[in-house]
Amino acid sequence: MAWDRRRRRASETGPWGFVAHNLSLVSFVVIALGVLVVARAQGDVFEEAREVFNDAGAPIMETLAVPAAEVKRWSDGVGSLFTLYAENQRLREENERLLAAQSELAYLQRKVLRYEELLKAPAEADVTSVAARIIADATGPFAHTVLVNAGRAQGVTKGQAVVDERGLLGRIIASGERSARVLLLTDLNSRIPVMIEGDNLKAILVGDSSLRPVLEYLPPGSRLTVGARVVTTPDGGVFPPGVAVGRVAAGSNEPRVQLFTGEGRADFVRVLHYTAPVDVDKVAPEADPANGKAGAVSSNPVSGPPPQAAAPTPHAPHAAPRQPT
Amino acid sequence: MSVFLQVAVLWMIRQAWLSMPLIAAVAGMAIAMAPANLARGLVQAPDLVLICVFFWAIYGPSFLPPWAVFLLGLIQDFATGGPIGFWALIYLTAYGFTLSQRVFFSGRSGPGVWIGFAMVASVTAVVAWVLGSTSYARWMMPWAIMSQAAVTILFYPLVARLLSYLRGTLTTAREAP
Repeated sequence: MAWDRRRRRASETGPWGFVAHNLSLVSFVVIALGVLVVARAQGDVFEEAREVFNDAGAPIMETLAVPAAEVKRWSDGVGSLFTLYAENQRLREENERLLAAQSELAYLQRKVLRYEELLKAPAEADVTSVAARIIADATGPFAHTVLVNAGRAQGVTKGQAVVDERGLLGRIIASGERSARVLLLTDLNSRIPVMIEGDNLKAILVGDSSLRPVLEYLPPGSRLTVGARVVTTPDGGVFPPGVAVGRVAAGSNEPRVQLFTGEGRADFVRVLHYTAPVDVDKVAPEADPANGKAGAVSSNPVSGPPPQAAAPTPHAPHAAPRQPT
Repeated sequence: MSVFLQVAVLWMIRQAWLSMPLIAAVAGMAIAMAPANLARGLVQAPDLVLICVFFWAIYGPSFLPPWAVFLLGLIQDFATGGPIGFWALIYLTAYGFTLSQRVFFSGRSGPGVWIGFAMVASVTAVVAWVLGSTSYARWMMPWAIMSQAAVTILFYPLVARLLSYLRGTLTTAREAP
């Protein structure tokens, strides 16, 4: 009897015994592995399912977002109690600075308007926006995405830029009927074209799961100024020009950007509707000389002369008047 | 007739209640994703699903069978917008690893199981790091994964206490199958 028990145990233990006892577990592992391989090979296979899932989950997450917003309000309130005096001082100083900047801004606005009139500059492409609420924050060690409660019904489509009051947050990667998923700038799959103001350099901002994404594809030998503002460029016709992204960060081996939307998260965001007036890819090669001239009157935030690295193509959308198609 | 109806209704309620472990895990996932943003993005939210997977693998795998773990992983994949099958594979691995080590956990007191969970969470983090690096085709920074594992380990006693109450409503057996 004892011998039998020992023999049975010997056959039941070990990896094969475990597999034999957990066949359903092993088969689900194999299915999951298969699904993962298919999903990585053909990313679009599950796109529709994702949209349906987002739409189905949106009402639940929307309900949960209400108490979550209340919790956030309380925690912000408690946190600010300890820094009330310092915060007050900071706001006073900022207010003084802003008041000084306000009069200068009004003067510059009048000046730009007058120049535009003199040069008969065409109107810029309109950027309209839709307000939406963040209803789910799926920021984990891998994916960095949020769900917003606006979808195709509100005109939100794939590729549109999403901003909060501080700057660019990310772009829409999947849009359902009533909800849409935003890929944040910090996500591993996020890559957006940006321009470094002042240095007039173009680069691709690549997310790597850290709070500070990396600047890649900089022109060789380029030097960056720490603290320089990084803004979007309309290259590829996806983002409107000049949306604030962050500042060039100090203290790291590779060039990184401290995002304006880095810490904390807004409750409400704006999804920008931007239509590039011309197809940049098609027009760029033959339209260079004309664009070079038009670039001077564009309202691109980078006002200095475009260096060699910064091709005049980003100015093309402004230069060409919007034609009804 | 009315007796049959009563029996049928009671049976349905019982079945619905038996799926509470799955529902509770989904609810935990949804709560962790609610945009309260208490940690200001500095630390990750705890992986409550991993705690559920570990807990039920030890105290009653029949209440959260492999298909339910697979389903939880798929829901997580859809909810985070990541590659489909990614979290399903991670949770199934954690479930399988816990099951294989179940004999060491059974009969242990709270801190003993907590240490066991820390071990499983660490192994899961390593698996997630390898799978993430392979799946995203680039070296992942281990900091985010490690910080989530640490936060999840800290949350274990609280969540396990809640799950113990739930288990008490499902069975009275000390060692559920």
